[in-house]
Amino acid sequence: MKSQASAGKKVTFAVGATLAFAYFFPFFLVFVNSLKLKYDILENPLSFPSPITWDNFQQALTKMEFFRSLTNSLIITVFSVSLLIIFSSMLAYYLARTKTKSSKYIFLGLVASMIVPFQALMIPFMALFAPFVSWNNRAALVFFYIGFGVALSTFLYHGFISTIPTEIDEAASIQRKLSFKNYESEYRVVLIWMPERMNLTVANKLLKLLEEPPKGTIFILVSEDANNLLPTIISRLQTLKIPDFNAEDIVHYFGGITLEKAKQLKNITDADLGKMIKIQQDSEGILDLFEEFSAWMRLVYKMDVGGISRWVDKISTMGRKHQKLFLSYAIKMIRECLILNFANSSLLKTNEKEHAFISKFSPFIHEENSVMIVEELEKSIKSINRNANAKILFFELSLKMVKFLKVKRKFALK
Amino acid sequence: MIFLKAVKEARVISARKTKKFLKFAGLPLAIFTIVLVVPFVNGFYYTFTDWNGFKTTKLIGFSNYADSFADPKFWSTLKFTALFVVVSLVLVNVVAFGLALIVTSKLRSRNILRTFFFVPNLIGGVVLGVIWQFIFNSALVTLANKYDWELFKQSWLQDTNKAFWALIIVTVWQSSGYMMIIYITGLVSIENDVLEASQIDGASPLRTLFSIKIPLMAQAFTIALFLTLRGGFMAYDVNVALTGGGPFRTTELISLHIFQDAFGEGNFGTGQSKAVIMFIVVALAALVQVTISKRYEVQR
Repeated sequence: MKSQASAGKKVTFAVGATLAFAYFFPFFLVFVNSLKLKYDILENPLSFPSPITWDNFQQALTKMEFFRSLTNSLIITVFSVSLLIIFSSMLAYYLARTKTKSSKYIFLGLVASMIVPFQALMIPFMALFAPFVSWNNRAALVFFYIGFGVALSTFLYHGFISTIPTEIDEAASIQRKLSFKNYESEYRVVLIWMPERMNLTVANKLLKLLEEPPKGTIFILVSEDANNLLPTIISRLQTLKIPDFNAEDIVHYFGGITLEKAKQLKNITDADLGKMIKIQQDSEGILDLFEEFSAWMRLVYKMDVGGISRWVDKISTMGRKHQKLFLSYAIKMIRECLILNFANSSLLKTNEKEHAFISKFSPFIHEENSVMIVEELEKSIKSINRNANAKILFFELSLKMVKFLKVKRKFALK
Repeated sequence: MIFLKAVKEARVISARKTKKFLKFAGLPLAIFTIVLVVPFVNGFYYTFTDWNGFKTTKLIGFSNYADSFADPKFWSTLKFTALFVVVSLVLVNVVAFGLALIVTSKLRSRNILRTFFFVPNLIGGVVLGVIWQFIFNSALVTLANKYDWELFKQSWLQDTNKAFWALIIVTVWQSSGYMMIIYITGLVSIENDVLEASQIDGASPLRTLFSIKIPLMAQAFTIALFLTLRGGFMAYDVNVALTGGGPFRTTELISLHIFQDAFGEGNFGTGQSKAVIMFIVVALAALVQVTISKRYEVQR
């Protein structure tokens, strides 16, 4: 195996070396012949020069005024390239960062201009500019080079700038704003949401500011997942943990809902207030979720196909939102069952009714089937999002659940 | 009152936006417009007039285009250019991809090889043309007469068919190094885990090349094909320096033909209309090529 690989390597090297020789040989030939006298070139172009002569070079230097043209090229190159770099990087920055229709069209125009052949411009170009510019004008040449080069270099810069995350711009703008002095009030506050999502370069950029904030500046970083913050950032902050809402808070917030319902809401939404409000607005019959779930599980357990089909008819008439809510509620309940199986009941988030059901139902949920069940439920949520037929979906799901509940655990824990 | 305040605020914001636009984009866009857009639009307009390079007297409709199409030389040039574009497109990309494969293999000499392949690109087309003119006209002919090689006894540049291949050889030699760089970036951007996975699955090197590397770097092909297509249509300096269009203007590519028509014979009107036709042909060809090769690109 190894010898085969090295043989392949040898072949590649041989091919590569031959090609490299072929690519370089013309230069070599020209160089060798430039050192020859004229008759020698004509007689044997491949041989080494017999009397080496530098006459040709000398003649070229004097007759062509080589250095003058070299200076011209140098001046034009230096000026047009440096101006192009400045202009096109600025233009590309503007076009990449300003997401408006006009900037999109300007960019498209620049790109499209790259397929315009020079020949299509050459003749009117002459006619337009000949009256204004003498053709020996270096400044004019620099100007034209910029005009012809700006499209390509802007295109390249645009591609590059688009890969730089905008957060870096934001960090830079924070830095800039904080470099101003407080004017009207004593304090200013920088509020950063979800700092754990900050990318590494940005985090490092802000690090110095966080370490030594300018006078009268307070940073508040609001994170839902402080463990994912950079340790260097955490060490510069005071951590303040804000606990979840408890059920009483929720009752107080919504007003006029029962404690039981609040608990359930909290359980379904992981104490996310936004989701709670949404659910509250969308459906009033939250408590029914439990009834529905327990009824479904009983039907599935009894393998009552007629009952299942009636149940499916009922749920498929509900809205998609309700179906999704139901499925995510089912996932939560499966989770509760597992917790009851493996840990003590103090970790449960259920209310009394649910608890009563779960304590009877949990023996059927174990490490073997819970994964499958949850996967299947999640898949169903996705399918509902994609407009699946609810009747077919729920019927199939129920039949699968029948199967899952029959799965025996391989070994007993207790 | 509130309404007036809002209007004022909106005005301030839009003024700020305009200021930013002018600061960042004003100058380059102005230069771009003067150098490219104005001549382009103007040139389009000229094709409908009796322009003779200095002044226009009246609009003459499509007769410039009619004259262009009636010119048999234009048709033969177009055909020659199309052939040149197709052959050079295929050869340049095949060679360049091969070079890229060699250079990205695990050879220890890959960096120096890469330099060798790229060198022809560092030198302008005119110089390359002169170098190869020397090779075709004197070096090879002298050698052929000395050692009796039938193929090279007469200079290749004196014969239309052979001059075509001379053009192709020089073009491939010149631009394959550049396209190689594009293919290298494509090859390097393929994640190693994909290649490792294919190796574990037992794919042969050839299979890996065709089923994994090429589909994953299709974007590099799109770019390289586009650039060679455009380069083929616009080839000018190698053409001038190597064959100068000869023998008897049979190896003129479209760019050189337009130049000769306008500045050599003073037919500015037809020259410009031929240039517009060329632009349309290039744009259509590029559009077709890009749409087709985009279809083969894989989203990662």
